[in-house]
Amino acid sequence: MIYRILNIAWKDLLHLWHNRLLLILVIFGAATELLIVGWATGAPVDDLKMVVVDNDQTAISEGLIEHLRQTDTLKLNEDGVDVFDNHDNEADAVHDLFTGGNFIFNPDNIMLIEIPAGFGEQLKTGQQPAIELTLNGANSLASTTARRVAEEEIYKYGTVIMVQHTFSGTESTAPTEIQILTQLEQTQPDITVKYNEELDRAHYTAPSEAAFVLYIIAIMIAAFMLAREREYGTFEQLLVMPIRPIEIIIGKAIPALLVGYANFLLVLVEMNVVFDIPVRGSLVLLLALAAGYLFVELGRGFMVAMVSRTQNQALLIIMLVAFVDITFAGYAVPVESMPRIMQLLSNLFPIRHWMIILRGILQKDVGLDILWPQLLWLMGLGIIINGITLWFFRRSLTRQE
Amino acid sequence: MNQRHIYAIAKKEWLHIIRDPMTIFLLAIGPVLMLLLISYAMATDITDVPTVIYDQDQSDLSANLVTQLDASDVLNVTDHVNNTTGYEDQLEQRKARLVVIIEDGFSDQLTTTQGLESIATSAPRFSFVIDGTDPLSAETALETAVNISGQFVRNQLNTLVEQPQTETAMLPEQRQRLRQQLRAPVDIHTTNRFNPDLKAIWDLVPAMIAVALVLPGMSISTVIARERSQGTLETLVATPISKHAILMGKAFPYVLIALLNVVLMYIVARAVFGVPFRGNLLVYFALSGLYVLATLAIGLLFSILIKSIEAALWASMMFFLFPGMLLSGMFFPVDVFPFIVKLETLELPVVSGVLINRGMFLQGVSVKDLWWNILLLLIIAVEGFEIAGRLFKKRIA
Amino acid sequence: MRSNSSNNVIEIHGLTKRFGSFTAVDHVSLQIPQGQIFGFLGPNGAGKTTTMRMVLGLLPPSEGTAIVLGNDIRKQARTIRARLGYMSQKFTLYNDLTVEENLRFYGRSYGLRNNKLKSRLDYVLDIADLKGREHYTPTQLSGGWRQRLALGAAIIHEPDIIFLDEPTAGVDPLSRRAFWELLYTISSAGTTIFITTHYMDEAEHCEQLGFIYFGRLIATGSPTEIKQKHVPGNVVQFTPEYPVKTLQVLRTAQQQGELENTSNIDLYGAQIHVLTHNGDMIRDHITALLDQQEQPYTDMQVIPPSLEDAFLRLTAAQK
Repeated sequence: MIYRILNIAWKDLLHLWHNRLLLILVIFGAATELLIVGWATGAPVDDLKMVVVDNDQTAISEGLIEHLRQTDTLKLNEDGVDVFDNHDNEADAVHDLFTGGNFIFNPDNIMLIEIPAGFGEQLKTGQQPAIELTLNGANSLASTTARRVAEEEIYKYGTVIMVQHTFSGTESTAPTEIQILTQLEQTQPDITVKYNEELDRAHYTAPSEAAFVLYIIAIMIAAFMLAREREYGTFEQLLVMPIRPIEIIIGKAIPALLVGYANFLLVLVEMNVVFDIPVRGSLVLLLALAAGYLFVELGRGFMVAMVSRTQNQALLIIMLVAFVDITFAGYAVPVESMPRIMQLLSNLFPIRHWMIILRGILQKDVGLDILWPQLLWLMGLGIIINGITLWFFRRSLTRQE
Repeated sequence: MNQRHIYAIAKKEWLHIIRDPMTIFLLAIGPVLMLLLISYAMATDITDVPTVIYDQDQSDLSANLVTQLDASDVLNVTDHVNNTTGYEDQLEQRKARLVVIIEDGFSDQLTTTQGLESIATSAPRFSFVIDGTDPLSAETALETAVNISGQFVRNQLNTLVEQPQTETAMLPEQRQRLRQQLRAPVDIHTTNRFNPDLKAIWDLVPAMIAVALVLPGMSISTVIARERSQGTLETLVATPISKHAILMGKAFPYVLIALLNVVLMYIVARAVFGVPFRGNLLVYFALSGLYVLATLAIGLLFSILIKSIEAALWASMMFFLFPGMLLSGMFFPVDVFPFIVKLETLELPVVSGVLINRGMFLQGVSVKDLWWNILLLLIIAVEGFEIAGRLFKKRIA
Repeated sequence: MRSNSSNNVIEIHGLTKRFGSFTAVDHVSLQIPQGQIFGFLGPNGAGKTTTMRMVLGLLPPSEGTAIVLGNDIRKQARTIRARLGYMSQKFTLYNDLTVEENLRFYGRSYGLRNNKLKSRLDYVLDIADLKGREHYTPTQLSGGWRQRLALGAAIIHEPDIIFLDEPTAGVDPLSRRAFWELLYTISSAGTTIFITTHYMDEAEHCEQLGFIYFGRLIATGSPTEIKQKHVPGNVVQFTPEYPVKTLQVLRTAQQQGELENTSNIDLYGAQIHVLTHNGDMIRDHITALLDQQEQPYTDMQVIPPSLEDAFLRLTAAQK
């Protein structure tokens, strides 16, 4: 039995070897993908363009503008004010400011701040002047970030000015800006961030991408290796040989496993070195669970191949399946934030459990004591999926076209 | 280029496609299906973040605060713990993502004189622990919790300040100081243009349309390789049909199917998801056509450059799908990417696609505003076909 | 004949296959003794491949049984797989693997290893004349060599029976002859060969034939037996200058009763064949007729009938 399995595995490895170009594309392409994605999503959101209309024109308002300008996140677009002159009404002007740019050299403005006349006076006397913030809702991440930063700066600056001017004491005991800010700082609640102290988005997206990469390689290679046999007609040959269907599956799984694994190791190294996401938990456990997960996913790949007539079809099916899979896996949005029914359904997807495992071991240091439900699910799903695939195999013995 | 030639090739390609019900299903219905599924799943406004309370104060006041926290859509109080390990375990097991610690002395600070004194200078008697794994939702959850708690405290103090002198132990100066502190320096009005309620689905659906439309481009990346493997390529090349005509003919059915998709997805976006459309419908379809042409051009290039079918499929997948999700601008804005990455995205039609869709649906832009993206797509489409034609001649004919 | 008829390796009884309302194979019965070269002959779509598939256990029959090497393939297919070899119509070979890699794979699939594998590998390379071409891929070989390689892969494990489905389709005549010599070599070693073909001239090489037409077996026997049974007599053959017109003339004459003792009158490439019991007499008769009708011709002769004649006769009878 083992001999026959190894025979099939060796043949498929030869196929891969003869298609070296593809293999290299696959492994390094995926790794590069991870790099780019992590890099792009981990980039700090800064230099967001804002336009400030200062209807007050006092030292106070200018001071505010200066503070806003000095944040890393916000970038003052001084020409923006002129745009107002070109339009009759504010709505048009805003539309103009928020659209029409290009993302390379001249991105759209994200925020418009309007400082009312009398701002300085009102602030000094504690009369709570109103500031209008208009955000570019088409760019939600940027506008949310811009808003947070602007609100914080305005609040801090406003507090400083107000306290300084409403202070009822002598000149020499008047608090300085630093003092006021420090005090303000002290009155903020204590916040501890665990597991991703810098709130680096790449810490979320890089493992997502890594998990996805392993998933897609496994399922694609499995599907292709089988779909190609079926499309070229050599599958029939296999069925005539004294080999059991299960031996065929295992034999074909081995090369896919090897490639997937190699890729996974590369990705782990990459995450550690480039993104500073080491494996906090047990590496051995991770590798073992990765192998187990691969088997399940390979089964799905084979299943797709059995229902497709051509490789092209197999690809298209995998595409659709992949989109559904990664949705339920929590790739871009955490599963906990999804509607309840989707949370329940997500358990049927192997990649969901894999994502949990990968994140858990990478970022926390969880062991089998916490991950055992995932293991159970994977085993259960694996048996069912591979069982169905085997059934397809056996059925093809009797349903040749 | 002879029109009849193009028509002949187009017809043949059309037959290839429709004879394969699977492909037709995937190409024609697949994108809409994707749109429905994924938008439903992923366009989630951050809600029901599991929150755990560690109430050391155990007072009426702290209970009140907890109720208010729970009342928020964003947070969902799932458990109360009595010690640090209690919540640390929950964090580790992902049962909770946010922990609100109400310290001993919370209500004292808000009701006794010494407490009130200290408000001005010390940290509030509550703190937070947040799971930073997913920064986006973490920040929102945190912001909400901090705001609610802060507002709670301010309300308390406001009530105190307005109490008649007889009922409070406060000195007039204290009262005065408190009043001052409670006053926010500035009143900030925030409006969100284009998406006033900050609906995630308005944000996602238009972008998703662009991403879903890459399917025809991916599918076309194998047409040449398939003809090659079937052996019909040489016969095709031997006909008097020009190479450009062949390519255009092959692309034609895909363009049609893609436009059908656009119509379907538009209907879904409007009727099912309720996303507003503020642009010009005709212009939108025209631009969608352009976008599809651009993706097809690149797909054709792959088709010619790469001999093996699998490699063609894989390359088109890596080029369209992988970056499509995360780099398209769907989740993370392209303008904040590092410059080099931005340059890479220049070749990705999907980025322009996302911007065009968001622009037309949400922003109500006109052609003038989109000129840059239109130009980009035009260049990709035209140059792509041009190069494809030349390569076709060189490599095959 | 080398066959040992008390020892049938394949016994088919009433084998039938229906696809919906379409009957592809209609109650076919055959016995094939050990060591025989059996040819399954018929036009495309007649049911040859379907029958072969059923016998191989790839397709379940709608009715009937097939006993191969004493085993009912419906239930015991797996036990005998190792003793069968199969060369399919489409692709037996992996196009991106080399000759040697292909052969090794097949060998190992049937359990050959180490020395045994090596010696069989050498043997196959030798008889298929592939020595020196081990590192080529099938696509780099011309049609003839590819077929030999496919045959080699089918016999590498010394099967008792090999099934060849249209093995020489698209191969030049010279290679085809070489191929058949190979088959004789294999057959003389005791291997039973079950081959399907639509080439009549190939059918002549077989020891036993089965004519299949629209799913039904319309004749069995050795080539000589079939010819004797179904086309007794001989053929008058000549090359007309105006084939279509001359054919019409002859057929009209036959209808009018002028050409008794003739049966089929058909076009064979550039020639016309007239089947008859009395070759000489009819030849003279036709010569006279053609002269009278002013239909020029050359090379008038009487020849023994071929299998094709037999087949045409049989299929005409079916209509």
